[in-house]
Amino acid sequence: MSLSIRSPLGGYKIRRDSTRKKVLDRYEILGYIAAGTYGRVYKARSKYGTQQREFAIKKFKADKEGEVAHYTGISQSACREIALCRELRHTNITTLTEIILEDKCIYMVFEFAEHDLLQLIHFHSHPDRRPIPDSTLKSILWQLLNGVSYLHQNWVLHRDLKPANIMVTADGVVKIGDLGLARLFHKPLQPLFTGDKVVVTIWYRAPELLLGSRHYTPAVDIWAVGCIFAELLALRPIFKGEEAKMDNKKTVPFQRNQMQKIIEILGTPTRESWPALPQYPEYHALSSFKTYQSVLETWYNTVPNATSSSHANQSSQPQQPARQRGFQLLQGLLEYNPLKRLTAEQAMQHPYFGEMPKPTANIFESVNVEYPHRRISNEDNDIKTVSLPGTKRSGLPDDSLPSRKKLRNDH
Amino acid sequence: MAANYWTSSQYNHWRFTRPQLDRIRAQTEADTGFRQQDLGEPRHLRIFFHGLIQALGRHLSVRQQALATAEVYLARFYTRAAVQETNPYLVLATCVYLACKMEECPQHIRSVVSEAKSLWPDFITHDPTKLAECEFYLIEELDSYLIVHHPYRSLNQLSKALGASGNNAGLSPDEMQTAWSVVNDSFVTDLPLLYPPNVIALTAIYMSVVLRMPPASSQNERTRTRLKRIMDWFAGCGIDLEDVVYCSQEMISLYEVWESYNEKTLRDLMARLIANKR
Ligand SMILES: Nc1ncnc2c1ncn2[C@@H]1O[C@H](COP(=O)(O)OP(=O)(O)O)[C@@H](O)[C@H]1O
Ligand SMILES: [Mg+2]
Repeated sequence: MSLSIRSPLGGYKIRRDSTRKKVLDRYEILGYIAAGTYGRVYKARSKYGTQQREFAIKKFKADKEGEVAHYTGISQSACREIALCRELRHTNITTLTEIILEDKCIYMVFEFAEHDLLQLIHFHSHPDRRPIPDSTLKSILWQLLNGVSYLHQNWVLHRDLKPANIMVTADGVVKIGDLGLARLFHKPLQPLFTGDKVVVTIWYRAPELLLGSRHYTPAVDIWAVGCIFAELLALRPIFKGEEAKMDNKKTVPFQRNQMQKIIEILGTPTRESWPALPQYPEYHALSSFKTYQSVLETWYNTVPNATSSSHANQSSQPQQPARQRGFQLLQGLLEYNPLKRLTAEQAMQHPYFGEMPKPTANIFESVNVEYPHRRISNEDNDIKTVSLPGTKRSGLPDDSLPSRKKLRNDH
Repeated sequence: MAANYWTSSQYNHWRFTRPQLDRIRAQTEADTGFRQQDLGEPRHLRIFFHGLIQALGRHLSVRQQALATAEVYLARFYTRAAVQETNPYLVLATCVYLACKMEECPQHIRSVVSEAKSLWPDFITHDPTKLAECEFYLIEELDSYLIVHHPYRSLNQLSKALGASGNNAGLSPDEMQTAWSVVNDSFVTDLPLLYPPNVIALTAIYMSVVLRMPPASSQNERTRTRLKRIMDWFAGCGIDLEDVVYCSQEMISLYEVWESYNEKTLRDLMARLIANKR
């Protein structure tokens, strides 16, 4: 009896293993794109089919003990990502084509996206380059909101919206990616705060989270969208705080510097406009800040965006009221009080999108900027290798600073 | 999608007609060389597995919703694999482990293994890597579709709507309890693979109210009016009553089969099965 307990899946396993199509039978690996939080992403081409479609294969691997990889149970966040990617289908969400489970590794195969917002922002932030064209910027924002709206309608919180996680295909369609931290919010068998403490890269983290709320609502994603909107305008993060590192105990520190950056631009939040304010665990910390008035409008008007910059083409410059609409939308997204913050649907209805230029299905339409292609490297073409860095996922933000530096050197 | 059954993977990929389901099972028999009939009445086996999942769930204090998901995983898995080629104790413990993660009440793999081991010492080893390995195969066999819709939410919605439809039509606490158990028992049948959750929920209401009514001859006026109101509401609620009747028959026939269920027979069968699998 013990024999069959020790190899409990005996016959089944042999049958299954013999029929499984291997990753390398199906895909030719073209190169390595990025090291993710817990694995790697490769660019690949399908070996079947007439059109040479390209894919991004995200590999999660099993934990390693010594030289051999062991099965240790798939992390809950990986399970969520698998389940959600498999379920979601929308133009503005990266399309998962299949999942392959092979040799203790999970391969998630996505349609390849040539660009991402981080890369776009960097391309434009080069001193000689012009700001992101109005039409592109507005189309990005609209498509981003469209994807977020779909997620929220389906009770999914993304929780890690930031430029690096928002892809753009070669034909100019925005694709929200990286559902690694996403969660359903209708199933609070356990309140939505337990389990993972810190979510969302600090620069995009909503003020209610900074103030210690452990209850996630769709409004946290909207805040991040507001930050991304501002970053597309300014070509640098609007609230670029320094992260207070977690001490070795499990206590999550108050992100004082991040809060400071927000207050400097949006002013000190008040109980009048945000009645729940005193109920947040870190409320007392607010009293130690200097009092600021909101300077968001000044910030907005001085940002060297396409409409105000000297590079701007005079004829395509929207009228003053149109510019004002952009500001109002930004303000609605960066509203302190999560209950008053715009929803994705409300934001999509905003008059800003009714003004010329109207958002388009191809964000590059009517723009002749040649964006660089996604860089791939060939130093690690071996998707089957096991000698990768650790794979344990943490809820910790993967600070995008290092990758920015890398990108800058590329230009 | 996650919020909508009608766009979900459950609707699009894991829902079959009876003939489709029969064909899938025939194909699995052909692929594996194991016949279902060699294990006796299939529903006895399902009742047995149901009991094992519930027992493990109780030991781990797992919510019913997560156990329901585990049962659906198990049912799906064994449409494509033969019980005889696996260790079902390990497979169902794996279903519970995965379902707990998906339903946001995660259990440590070691707790699942040690509880399973304490329940079924002859069939489960201490080694958690076996369960972790099984999880890979399980997810693969499920085609990575892990979000499952259950009739519980529909049951609450429908009973609320029924209650709002006129005085006295709503379910009594007793009837609600019965309806709830019918839903729990439906996981023993193929119904979750065949019908949408709202049809199963309505079946549960139908069975708890209509089938438990006193015979027409002994009904008083009040009961008759209520029954009429409920039947009117059923007719207008947008669910095909033929489906509800079919599901009720499945449930009634399950309860008949349950009468002849003997747990020991099944336990012995499993012991032989696993002992033979050298
Ligand atoms: N579909 C895709 N097409 C092209 N590149 C991608 C795609 N998905 C991810 N990448 C690249 O891989 C990086 C990491 O992937 P991501 O899904 O964000 O995982 P992580 O959780 O590790 O951040 C992304 O920032 C992007 O550069
Ligand atoms: Mg990412």
